[in-house]
Amino acid sequence: MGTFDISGPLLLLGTIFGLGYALLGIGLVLAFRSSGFINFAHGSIGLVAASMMSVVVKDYGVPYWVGFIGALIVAALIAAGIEAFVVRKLAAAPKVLSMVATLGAAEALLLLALSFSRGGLGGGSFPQPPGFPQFDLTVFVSPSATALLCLSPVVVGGLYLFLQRSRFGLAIRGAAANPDSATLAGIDPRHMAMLSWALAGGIAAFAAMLIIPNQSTVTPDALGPDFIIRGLAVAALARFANLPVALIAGLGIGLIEQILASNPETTGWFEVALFVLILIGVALQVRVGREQTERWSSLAPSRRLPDSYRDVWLIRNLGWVAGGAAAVAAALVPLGMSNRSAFVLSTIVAFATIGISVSFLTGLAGQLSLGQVAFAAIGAVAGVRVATDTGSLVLGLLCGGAVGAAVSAAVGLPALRVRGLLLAIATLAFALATFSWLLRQDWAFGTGLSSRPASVFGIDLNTSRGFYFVALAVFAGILTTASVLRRSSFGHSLVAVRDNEAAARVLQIAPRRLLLQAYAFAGFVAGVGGVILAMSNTFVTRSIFTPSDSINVVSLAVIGGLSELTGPLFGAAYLIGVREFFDLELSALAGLNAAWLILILEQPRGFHGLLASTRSNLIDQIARLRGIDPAQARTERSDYETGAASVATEGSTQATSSGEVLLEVRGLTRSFGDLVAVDDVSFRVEEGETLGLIGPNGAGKTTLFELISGYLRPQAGTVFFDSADITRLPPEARSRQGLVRSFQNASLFPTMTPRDIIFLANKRALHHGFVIGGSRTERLVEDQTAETLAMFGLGNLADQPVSLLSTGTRRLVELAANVALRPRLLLMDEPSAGIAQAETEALGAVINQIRHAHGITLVVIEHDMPLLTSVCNRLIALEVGAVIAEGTPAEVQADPAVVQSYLGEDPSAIARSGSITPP
Amino acid sequence: MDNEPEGRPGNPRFLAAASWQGAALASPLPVLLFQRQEIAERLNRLGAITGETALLGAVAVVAVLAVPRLRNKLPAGITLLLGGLVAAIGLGLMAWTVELALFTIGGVLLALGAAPGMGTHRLLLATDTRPADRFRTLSWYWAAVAVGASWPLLVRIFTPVAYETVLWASAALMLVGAVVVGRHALVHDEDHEVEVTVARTDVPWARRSYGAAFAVGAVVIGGADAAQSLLLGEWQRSAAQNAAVLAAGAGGAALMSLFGPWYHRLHRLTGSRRADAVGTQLLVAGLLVFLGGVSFTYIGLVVCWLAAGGAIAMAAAGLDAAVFPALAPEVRRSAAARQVLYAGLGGLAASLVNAWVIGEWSDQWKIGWLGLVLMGTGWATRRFATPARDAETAVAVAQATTVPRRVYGLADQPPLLSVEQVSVAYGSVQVLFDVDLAVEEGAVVALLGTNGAGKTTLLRAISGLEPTIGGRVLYAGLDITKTRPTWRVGMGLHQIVGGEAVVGPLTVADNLRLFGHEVDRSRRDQGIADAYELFPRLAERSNQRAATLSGGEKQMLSLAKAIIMPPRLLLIDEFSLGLAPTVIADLLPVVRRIADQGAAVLLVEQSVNIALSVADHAYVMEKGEIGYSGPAGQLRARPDLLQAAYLEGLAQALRGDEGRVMGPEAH
Repeated sequence: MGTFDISGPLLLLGTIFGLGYALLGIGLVLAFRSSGFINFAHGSIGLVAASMMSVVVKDYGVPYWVGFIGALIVAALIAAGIEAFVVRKLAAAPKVLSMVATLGAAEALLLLALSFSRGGLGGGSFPQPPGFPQFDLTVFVSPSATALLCLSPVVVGGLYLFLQRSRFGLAIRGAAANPDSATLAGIDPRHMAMLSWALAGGIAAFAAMLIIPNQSTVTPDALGPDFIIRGLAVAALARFANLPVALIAGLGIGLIEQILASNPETTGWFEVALFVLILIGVALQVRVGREQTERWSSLAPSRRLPDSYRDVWLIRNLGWVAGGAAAVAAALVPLGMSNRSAFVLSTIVAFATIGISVSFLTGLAGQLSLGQVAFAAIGAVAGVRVATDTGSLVLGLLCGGAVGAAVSAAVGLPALRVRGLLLAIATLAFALATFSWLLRQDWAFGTGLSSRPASVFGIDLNTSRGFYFVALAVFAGILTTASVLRRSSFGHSLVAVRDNEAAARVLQIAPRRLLLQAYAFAGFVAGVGGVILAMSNTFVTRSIFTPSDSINVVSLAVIGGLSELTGPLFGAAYLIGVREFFDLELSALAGLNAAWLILILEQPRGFHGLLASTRSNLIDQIARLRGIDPAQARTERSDYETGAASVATEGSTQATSSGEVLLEVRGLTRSFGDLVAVDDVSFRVEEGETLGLIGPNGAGKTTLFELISGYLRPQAGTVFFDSADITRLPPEARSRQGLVRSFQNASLFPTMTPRDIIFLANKRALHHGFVIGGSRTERLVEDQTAETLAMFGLGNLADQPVSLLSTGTRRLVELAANVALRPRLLLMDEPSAGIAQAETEALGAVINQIRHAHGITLVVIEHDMPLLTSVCNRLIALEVGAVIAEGTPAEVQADPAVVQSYLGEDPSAIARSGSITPP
Repeated sequence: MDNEPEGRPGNPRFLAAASWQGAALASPLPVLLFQRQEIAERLNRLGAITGETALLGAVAVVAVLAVPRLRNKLPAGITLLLGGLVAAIGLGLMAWTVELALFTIGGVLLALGAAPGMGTHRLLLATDTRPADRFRTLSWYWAAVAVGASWPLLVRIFTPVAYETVLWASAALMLVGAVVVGRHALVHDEDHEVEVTVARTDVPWARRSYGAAFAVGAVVIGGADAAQSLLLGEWQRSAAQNAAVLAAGAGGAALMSLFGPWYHRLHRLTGSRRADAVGTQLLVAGLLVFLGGVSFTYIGLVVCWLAAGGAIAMAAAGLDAAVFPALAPEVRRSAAARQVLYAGLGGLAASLVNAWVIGEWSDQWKIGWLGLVLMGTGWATRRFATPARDAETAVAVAQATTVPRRVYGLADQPPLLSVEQVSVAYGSVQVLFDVDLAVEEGAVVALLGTNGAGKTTLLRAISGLEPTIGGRVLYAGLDITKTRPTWRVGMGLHQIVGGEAVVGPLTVADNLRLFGHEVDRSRRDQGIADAYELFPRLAERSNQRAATLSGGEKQMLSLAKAIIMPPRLLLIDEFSLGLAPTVIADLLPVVRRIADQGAAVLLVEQSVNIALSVADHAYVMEKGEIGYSGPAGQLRARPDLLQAAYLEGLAQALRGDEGRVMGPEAH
C-alpha cells in the first residue's frame, strides 16, 4: 500500500478543482430548481462556449476578457435555448425522455466543441487569463487556477446575493417553489426557468474556461459522464437546494480527488468514493422536485385494431411474420460479409440485448437506470471466465446472466427507495465506479482476457462470422423470453405498478417484490448481453464497458422506441452501426446526435413511432386485399366509444345486513403536522350493509379511507377486519383478505386496457401464481375476464387504453376489477366525482345491483346526496376529522350539526363578535 | 366572390416601407449564392465553402423555426425593426471578415433577421388589405423583392466593384429599411385582429402553399445556380449575359405588378377555381423553366425566364392572398415562417441534387428537371383542390374578415367580467360545461357549491391558469380567453389561490416583495408598509418562512397581495378553509374593504353563510354547471333551499320548489 500525500500545495490544488466542481454542481441545482430537470448537458454547454472562446482568442486575437464575457453570453444563450426547445417540450413527458434528451444534447455539444478547436481543447494550448499570477510550488498553479481561486467566491457570492436580494432572484425562487402563485403575481414561471438556465449556462462556461487550461488532455470520454458525475455528486449532497452546502461539497470532493490521486495504488477509489457520496446524498433526500405522475401513455403505442381486422390471420400475426422475415434476413446477411463487418453486427446485437434490459426495466417497470452496462460488465467477467475455463459457452452465458441478475437485484434492493432521476444518478455513479475500480481488478478483467471458447454446437467461433450466429440466436432467445414475460401477468403487473402504484396494490400486487424480480430479470438480460458483447471481441478489456456505453444503451433503447422490445435493435443499428460502418468526422457525429435528439423530441416513441404509420398503412392494405374496407372498419370502432356501458346482472336478491360486524375502527387518529385530519374516529360496519360517509371539504374522509385500507399508518387506534387486527398489514394483504378500495381520481392505469386490468384482478381472485401465456390456467382466467367484461357491458371497450376512456367508463372498469377480486368489503371514494349527472343516476343502480348480486358490504364517500340516499342504509357525517352525526340518511341530513358543518358559521354569531354587520 | 366582405384599404406607406425592406433583405442573397467561389477564395477556404452553404441553410431552418415562437409576443413593427437591424449587422459582419467562423456568425444573424421580415411583410400585406387591393399590393411587393434581388448582379456586371462593397451597400439598405419600416409599422399594430375558427397551420390551403414554396424555392435557387454554371461554363457567355438571364426572371416578376387589377379579376372566382388558377400558373411557370432549360439558345433562355418569373410571382401573390386571411391570426406568422422554410429547403435540396449529379447530367437538364418538378407541383395543386376543402376555407375567409375580436359597447354598461359558455377539461375529463357568469364593477359575488363542483376550475379559467376548450371570457369588454395569465395580472385581474397563495420556502417579507413584482419599488414598499399596518402579525413575522405560518396568517399574507397591487377584480378561492371563526371574523372586513375601494370580488367559499354575509349576488355550482343564480339576499332568505342544495342535490331542491324554478340566469 502506497502512501497518501497530504501536503499544502496538493490541498491547494484540491481546493481549486473543488471550486470548479462546486460551480458545476451549483449550475445543476439552479436548473433543477427551476424546472425539475437534471441538466446532463450542463458541462457540455460550458465546453462549447470555452472552445469557441479559445478559437476566438487564439486565432482571431480577440482580447481575453472580451472573449471571456462573450463565452459567458454564448453559454447562457445555449442553455436558455435548451430550456426553451427541449425542456419545455418534454416537461410533461416521462423523465427518461428528458434525461436522454439532455444526454443527447450533451454529446452533440461536446462533439461540436471538439470539432471547433481543431488543435484540441487540451490544457497547454488553452488561453490563460492575463493579470493573474502563477506559482510554481511542488505542483504548478497556473494563472487560470489562481483566477478560479480568486473569482469563484465572487461568482458564488454574487449569485447568492442575486437570488436572495434582487427582484428577479426573488422571482426565480418564487416561481420555482410555487409556479401558480408566481404567475398570479405577474411572473411567468417559464421566463424565470429560462433565466435560471441562462445563469447556469454562464456558470458552466465560467468554470470550463478556468478548469480546462489545467487539464492535460481533453477527450470526449473524460468530459462525458466522468465530468458531470462530480457535479451531480455535489448537487446530490446539496440536496438540489442548498448553495452553501454545494460549495462545501465541491471543495470536499476536490480534496478527496487529489488525496486519492496522490497514491498510485488507489486508482479507481475516487470513483467508488463518488458513488458512496452520491448514495449518501440520495439517502438524505426527503423529496426532490415536484412529484408528478409520469405520462407513460406518450410512450405506449395504441394497438387497438378494428374488430373486423382481428379475424385476418396475417394482421394478427404481423409482428411474428415480420420478426421471422427479419431473423431469416439477419441470418443470411453475414454470408457475403467480411469478418470486420460481422464483428460490428455482433456488437450491435450485443448492445441490443443489453438494450432489452433497459426496455424492460425502464420502459416496462419505470425504473430509470443508467447502470445496465455495469451489470453487463460484471456478468461478462463471470461469463467469460466460466466459458474459457470450462469451454462451454452455454454455461458461460448462464453464469453471466445469473451473476448479472444477482448484482442487479442487490443494487435494486436499496434502489426501491429511490425513484426517478435520483436513481439514474446513483446507477450512473455505480457504472463509473464499476468501470474505474471493479473491472480494473485482477480477478475481473485486469489487463485483459481472451474471451471465447473455440466452438459451440459445431459452430466455429474463431471467426467473428461464426460468433455472429451465436449472438443472433441468444438475442432471439432473450427477445422471445422478454416478450412472453411482457405479455404475461408479470408484465402486466409491472405496467400496473409503473402506472399507478397505489391502485396496483389493490390488485394485490406487492410492488417491492415485483420490482425486485424485474431488476433480477433485467440484470440477467444485461449479464447475458454483456457476455455476448465481451465475446464478440476476441480479447476483452474493461474499455468495452465504459460509462458512456451505459448512457448509450439507454439512448438506443429510447431512440428505437422504449415501449417495444425490438426498439433497442433499431437504436443499436443507428447509434452503433452508422458510427462503425461509416468513417465519420466529429461534426458529422454531432449531426447524428442532433438528428436523434430531434427524433425523440418530435416522436417520443422513436423509430417505432415513425414506423407506426407505415404499419397501419400496411395493415389497411392487407385488409383491403381481404375485402375489408378500412374506412368502414375504423368508423365502426368509434361507435363503441359512445355506447353507454350498462351492467347486466342476473336475478338480484335483496341482501340484508347479517348483523355480524365486518369492519371495526377504534379510536383512529392521524395528523399531518399541526393539522389533525382524523381525530379519534370509531365506528362499525356490519356485513351486508352500505354505509355512507359525508362531510365538507377537508373533513378527513379520504384520510380515513387511507387508514382503513392501509396506505397510511394511524398514530393511534386499531382497525379490525373480520375480527382480526389488520392495523399493521400493507394494502395488498388487506386486499387479499377481501378489503378492497377504489380511488377518488379514477386514474387507474392509463396505458393498460380494461381487459388487462380485469385479467389481473381475476387471476388474483383465483389465486393463480405466475402464469405464462397460452397455459391452461391462463385460458381459464381469460374466460373469466371475458365474462366479467360482458357482465359490466365493457366488451366493446375492452381493448382501449384506459387513458382514452371517459371518467364514467373508467369508474366502471375500476368497479369491475374490484368486483372481480371477490371482495367482502368495498370502500368507494366519491364514485360520482367527475361524471355527468345522467351517468350518476345510472351509477346508483349499478352499485345496488352489484351489492345484491355479490353480497358485498360497502362504505361510500360521496357528495351527491341523491346517489347516497339511494344506496345507503346508514350515514356517518364527519367534520374536521371527527364523527359529528350517525344514523339513517334522513336523520343525518336533518341533524343541525351537519347542516352547520355544510353551511358554515351562523353569520349572526360572527356579527356578534363585533367585526361585521350583516347586510 | 362579390359578397366578399370589405377589409380596410391597404396602407400605401406601409406597402412602400415593406417593399423597401423586402428588396433590401433579398439583395445580398444572389451575391452570396453566385459569388461563392470568390468569397471562398477570400476566406481562403475553397473546400469548406460548400459545407458552409449547407450550414447556413441549416441555420436558416433553425432561425425560421424560431420565428413562430415570437408570434403574438412582439408587435409586428418591433419584429420587423429588430429583424432588419440584426440582418444588417450580420451582413456587415460577413462583408467585413475574412474569417470563416465570423463569416458564419454573420450568416446566422442575417438568416435570423431576414426570416421574420420576409415572412411578416407578406402576411401583413395580405391580411390588412381590402380583398380588391390584395393582389395588386402583393404583386408590388414581390416586384420590389425581385428588383432588390437583381440589382447587385447588375452592378457587378457593369462595374468592377468587389463583392464586399455590394454587401456593404446591401447592409446599408437594410439599415435604412429597418428604420423606414419600423416607423410605419410601429403605428400599424394588429388591432384589427379577427376571429377565425382555424387555429392551425396545416389547413389544406396552407399545406398546399408549403408544397408550392418548396418547388418555387427549388426552381429559383437551384435553377439559377444551374443556369449560371450553364452560361459561364458550357456556353462560355460573359458575366453580363449571365446576369441578364437571372435579371430577366426578376424583371418578369416586376412586370407582373402592372397587371394587379387584371389579376384580381382572375381571382374573383370561388373556392376550388382559385386553387386551379394558382395551380395553372405554377404549371405554366414549370413549363417555361423547362423550355428555358432545354431551349439550347441564349435568347430562348432569357425569354422563357422572363415569363417564368412573371408566372411564379403571380402564383406567389395568389397563394399569399389566399392563405393568410384564412388562418387564425395567432398562426399566421408560423405559416409565413414555414413557407420561407420550405422555400429554403427546396433550394437546398435542388442544389444538393444538382451537385450530386454533377458529372452525370448536362447543365441544361439540371434546369429542366426543376421545371418538371414545378409542373408536378402545379398539377398537384389543381388535382387536390377538392371543392369541399375549399368551401371550408371560403367560410373561414368570410369569418376572418367580419367578426372583430374586441367587443365594445355590447350593452350600456357591460359587466366587468363576463364568462360566456366556458368549458374546461383536464385531459379527456370535462369538468366545466358551458358556464355563464357575470361580475359587475364593484360587486361582491359568491360562488358556492359542494366539493368538486368546479368552482376552483372556473376561477383558474378566469385567471388564465387553466386553458378553456370552449366559450370565452370577457374582461372590461376585452376578450381575454387567450390572454396569458401574467398579462391579466397587469390588467388588474388578480387571484388568491385558496391555501396555496403563499410561497412556503420564502419569508413573509419576500412573499410580499414577490407580490409586488409588477409595481415599481417605491409603490411596492408603500404597499408593504400598508399591509404591515393592516396586519401587524405579519410585521412581527416578517422574517419567518411562510410555510411556518398558521392558516389565518397565511390567508392574511395572501390578502396583503390585494393591498400591494390594488385589483380591479379579485378572485378569492376557498377563503375560510380550515380557519377558526374568529379568524374569519377578522378577515372578512378586509374583503369588504377591498370591495369598498372599488374592486369587484368573486369569492369561492365552502361556508355558505360566510359568503352570503358579504356577497351581493350568488351563484351555486353543481357538477360543472351553474345550478342557481340570484341575489344573495334571496338565497339568505331561503335557508331551506340552501340546505337542500347541499344535502339533497340542487336539481331535486329546485324541482320541489314548485312554480318558482330558478334556472341559471345570466346577466
